[in-house]
Amino acid sequence: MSQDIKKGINRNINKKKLRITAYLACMIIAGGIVISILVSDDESTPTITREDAQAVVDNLAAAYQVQGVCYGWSLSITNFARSGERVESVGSNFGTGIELVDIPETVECEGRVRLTAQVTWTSEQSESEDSGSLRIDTEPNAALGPLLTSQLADLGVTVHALIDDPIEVWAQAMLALPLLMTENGAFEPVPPVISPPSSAITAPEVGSDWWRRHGMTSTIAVVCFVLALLCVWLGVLAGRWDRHNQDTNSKRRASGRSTRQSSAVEKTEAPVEKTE
Amino acid sequence: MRQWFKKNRLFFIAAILAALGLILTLAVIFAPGGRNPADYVAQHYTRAAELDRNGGRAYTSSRPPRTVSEEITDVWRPADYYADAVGIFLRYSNDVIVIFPRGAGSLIMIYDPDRAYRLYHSHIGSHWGWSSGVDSVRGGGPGAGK
Repeated sequence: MSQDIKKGINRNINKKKLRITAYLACMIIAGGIVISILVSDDESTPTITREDAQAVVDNLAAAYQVQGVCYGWSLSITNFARSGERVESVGSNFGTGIELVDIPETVECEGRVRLTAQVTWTSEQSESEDSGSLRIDTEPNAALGPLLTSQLADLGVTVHALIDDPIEVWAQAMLALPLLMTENGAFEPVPPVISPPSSAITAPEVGSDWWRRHGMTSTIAVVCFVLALLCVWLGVLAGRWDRHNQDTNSKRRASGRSTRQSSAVEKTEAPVEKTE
Repeated sequence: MRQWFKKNRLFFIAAILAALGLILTLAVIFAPGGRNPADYVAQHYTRAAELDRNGGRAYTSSRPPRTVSEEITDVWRPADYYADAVGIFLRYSNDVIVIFPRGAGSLIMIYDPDRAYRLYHSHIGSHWGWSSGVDSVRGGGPGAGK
């Protein structure tokens, strides 16, 4: 009887523990969802800062000095999450806001490379997908445009990446275009600007190369070994439990047999007593 | 047989997991591509000691920088990456690999990170940790991942 009460109490405690664990798990999941919504719900339309635009212009200007190629861009982002807010940026190696078509004829361009990128972000409620386009027009060799587009894709500049992060991808594309023009064999490589030696500059620390390469595989291997050990431990416990159950059952059976035998003896002995 | 399997299923699962763990460990130990990115470059490209400069070790390849960069980063993912008109810069924990165009091929330079930062500060200094705005919008807008 007292054992039944103990079992009942243990069952209640286990139920309580389960309820608390489930409650905590629900809280953690709900918290995670709320945080992810708050983080991803940044609806602002990105703009190219003056410093970023100037850095790109400086790079293109340096390339123009060596190659004589004129580089230009037109980036447009339409954000329907902000009532169709539109951000546009145009520029070239001659400066922000100066399009290639604006360049006077007196300025010599051995070639012209123009990147046109468009991104449309739909609102969260909209059924339609975000969209974008990326095109490169080249003069005088128009066939170079599609080739440059595919080469940019090798460097991670794709329409998908552009939709996700227009400014970063625009910068990547504009900075890499002169290098690709060199790769295609038509123009001189742009020499690097070697800074004067200065002991004050030190490289910031970055994480381990080995871990970046093998971290995931190593973690999975360790998890496999830990789970294997856990299975072995549970197997041993289960074996012990089975043996314990078998022992108890056989003891019970033995005791049951002995009581049955003794009662049988009693039954057979009883009439003798009566006769006596 | 079924009874035996039922009785020892946990040990059977443990054996499968241990074998999987062992295969993954061996895959890590014997993974091709050298012990580090510099080792990979030394194994796969032609050493050109005559092109060594500014304390960097030079290697050459007949393939263009874009392809060389892909080959290296496919095996050793860099901590940071930057490409501009000059070349492609790959940042690793103990090395910086810079890939310049050279004719139809590439010149691959390996530098100690501090030296590379000092030499090419005007290129990578402001971009590795480009904080003025490009990184601030990383992750996209409302439609990111839609």
